Amino acid sequence: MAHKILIVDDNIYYSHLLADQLTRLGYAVRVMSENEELLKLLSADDYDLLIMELLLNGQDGLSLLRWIRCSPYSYLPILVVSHRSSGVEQLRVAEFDAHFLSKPVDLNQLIKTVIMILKEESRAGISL
Amino acid sequence: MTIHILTLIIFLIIILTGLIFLSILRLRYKFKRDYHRRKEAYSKWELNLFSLFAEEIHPSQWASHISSHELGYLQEFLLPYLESLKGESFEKLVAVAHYSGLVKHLLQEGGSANDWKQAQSIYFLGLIREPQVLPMLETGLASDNMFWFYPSIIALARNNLKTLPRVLEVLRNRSDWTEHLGISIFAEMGEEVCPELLSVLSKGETSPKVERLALAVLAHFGYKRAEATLKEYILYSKDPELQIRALRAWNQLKLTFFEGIALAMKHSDWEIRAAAVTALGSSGAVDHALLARPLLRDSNWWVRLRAAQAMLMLCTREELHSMLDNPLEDRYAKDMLRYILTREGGATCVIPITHAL
Repeated sequence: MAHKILIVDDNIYYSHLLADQLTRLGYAVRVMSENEELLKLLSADDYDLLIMELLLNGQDGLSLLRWIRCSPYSYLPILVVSHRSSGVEQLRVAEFDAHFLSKPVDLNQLIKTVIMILKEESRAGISL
Repeated sequence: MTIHILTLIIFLIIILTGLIFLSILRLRYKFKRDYHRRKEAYSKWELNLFSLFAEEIHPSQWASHISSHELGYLQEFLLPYLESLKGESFEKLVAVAHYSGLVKHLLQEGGSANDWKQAQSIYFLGLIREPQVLPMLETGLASDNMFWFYPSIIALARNNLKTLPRVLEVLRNRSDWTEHLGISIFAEMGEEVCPELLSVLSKGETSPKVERLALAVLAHFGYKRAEATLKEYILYSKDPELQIRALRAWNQLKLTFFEGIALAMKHSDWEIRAAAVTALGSSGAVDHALLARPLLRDSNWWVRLRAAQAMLMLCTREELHSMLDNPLEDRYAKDMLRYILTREGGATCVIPITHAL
């Protein structure tokens, strides 16, 4: 069964591009739109990976990260791909046990990282 | 006569209202047409973009279907992708901009009399690191309009590391830029800018604002080779703000303890004392942990807080609790320790009650 990936990013163009690239590789991808609630999405489907930006319209990505880690979905592997990429931010993301890539990002590198994370999670038997 | 004049006025008002109404209709029509054309172009290009990244088409194939009146839309369309991508995918999009004639078009727009169009063109050309943009930046670099100055200096910085002397010259000559902009500029240049900045600092930079920025950038990139320069600033700088920046950079780089930090902890400026004790905490110098203890009794709340945080990092919980139990310990010091143990340490700070009986 295909791995399920959820993308949360305000840059809808970039999200769709990434979704298309991952779909071509056989993943089932969902892009969160502005009027959707993350909690509802997470409860509706068992996602294997969340790809998110820290700079979100109206919400701080780090707070969202903290919220996920304190929720029933705390096990969810997370890849943060963000324009907010100072050393401090990277450290804070690492504290939440999430992977980090800074924008601008090389699409190939991003896809390789996604594959690597999903492989690691499969090996560990988490969330699948 | 009066009736004639009144009739004329009413007639003129009707004509003017009609003209205004027609202009609104025209604008509305133009806006709708523009909206539909943009939407149509975007949906077409999105498919092209996906095919381009899937290696199904070459950039020139996509570009050959883009007509000259669509170049404005193409500029808007490519922007969010160019801002988010780098590497091979970025280069493919730059190739589309070249093949479609967008770069040529923007080079012409860069010389336009419309400031807004000029700024947008320069931002785009700067983003794709187009070398031909360099001669067009001078007006923007001298402009008082920040929407015009910012894209110009960022375009200059993005283009090549060789532009660093010119970037520094511009920053030295102006005072209306923010540090956030400065860090963005140097972040655009990449980590390679660090040795260049170190050399600028060692030659004796004359602008304190640029010096502060350089120290912040070295910390931003985690450039550990800056250690010797930071030591110099901590020990010998006459500018307290620069000493604070150097200590903060020391803290961010997590460099090891040296005597200059202990000296700074005795400084008369509370901000320097706070920065120094924070640097002590991040240095991991367990042997020097007790140096922070006198600062727990500091008159400044922030210094006491940072001292308690440093001690939390360097001492064992038992040591901190024995200080709390000491009846001779200062009341403010105890208050701060208690605060830090409960608020910052979280559950790990709860010590089992050993004197229950």
